[in-house]
Amino acid sequence: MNDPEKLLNRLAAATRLEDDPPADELPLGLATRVLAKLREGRAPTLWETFALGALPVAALVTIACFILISPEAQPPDDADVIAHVMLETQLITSR
Amino acid sequence: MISLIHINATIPDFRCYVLTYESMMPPTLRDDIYAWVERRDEATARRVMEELHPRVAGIIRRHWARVEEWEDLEQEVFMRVFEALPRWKAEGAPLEHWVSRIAMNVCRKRWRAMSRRPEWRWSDLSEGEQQAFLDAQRDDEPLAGIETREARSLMHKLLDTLSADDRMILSLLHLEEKSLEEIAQVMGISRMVVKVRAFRARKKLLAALQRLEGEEKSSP
Repeated sequence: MNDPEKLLNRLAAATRLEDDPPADELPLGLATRVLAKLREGRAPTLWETFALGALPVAALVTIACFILISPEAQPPDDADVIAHVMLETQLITSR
Repeated sequence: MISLIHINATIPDFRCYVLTYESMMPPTLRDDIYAWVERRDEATARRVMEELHPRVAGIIRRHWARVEEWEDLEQEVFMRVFEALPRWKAEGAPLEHWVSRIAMNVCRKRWRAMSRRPEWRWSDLSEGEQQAFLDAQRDDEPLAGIETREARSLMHKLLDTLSADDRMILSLLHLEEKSLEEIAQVMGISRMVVKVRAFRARKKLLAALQRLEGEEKSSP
C-alpha cells in the first residue's frame, strides 16, 4: 500500500479497537491527595506571585512619571509649535 | 432512572416537558455534587470521585501514553473539577461532556509543556510498532489482525510530533471520533479553525508516515 491516507485511517481504526486499561477503582491514595490539596487551597503560581509583588512598584513608577513628566513642566518644542501652527492655519478658504 | 423534568413556563397554563441530559445522570451523583457544593465534606467528595473516575481515567489512558503519569494527571483533573463544580452547578451543562472537556484540556496543557517534538525514525520504533505499521499497510490484513496495543503506541508516537493543539484535534477526531462541532466546543474555537488545523495536522502525520515508509524500504 502506498496510500498514507489509508494507512493512517487503518492505524487509527486499529487504535480505537484497543480496549482502555480497566479504571474501575480509584487508585489508592488519589482521593486523599486531592482532598488534601483542596483543603490547603490553590497555591499561587510563580507568575502570580511575581505579578502581585510588582504591582506596588508599577504603581509608584506610574505616579512618579505623572509628577515628573507633566505637560506644564516641559516647554513646547519645535514639533509642537509647528503642529499647532498647522492646525490653526486655514488651508482652504470658502468664498 | 430517566425522569421527566417539569418546567412551568412563564405563560399561564403552558407546560413543557423536557428530557435533559442531567436528568439521565444517576440521582446519587447529581445529589452528591449539589451536596458537596453546599457542604464541601470529604465523604461526598470521595463518592463524586469514585463515580467520575472511570470516565476521567478512560480519557487519560486513551490519550496519554506514559503509564507512570496517569495518576498525576487524574489528580490534576479532579482538582480542576472540584474547583469548577460550583460554576457547573450554576451553568447546568451536561456533566459528562463538561468533565471530558476538563480532562482533555489537562492533557493539552501537558502536551504544551512537552519541550520537544520528536521526529521518529524507523529504527526508533519497537519491533511491535514496526509490525503494526507493516500490518496496517497491507490491505488484505483485517484490522483485527493488527496488534492494537502496538498500533496505539505507534499512533501516540506519531501524535507526539504535532503541536499540542493539533494533537488534541487529531486525537479527538481519530481516537474519539468526535465531530468538528464537538471538537470546536471542547477547544473553544470555531468549526472552521478546527477544520483547517485538522487538515494541516493530517498532512504532517501523512508526511511522517511516508518518511517512515521510505526508511522501512531502505532498511536492511
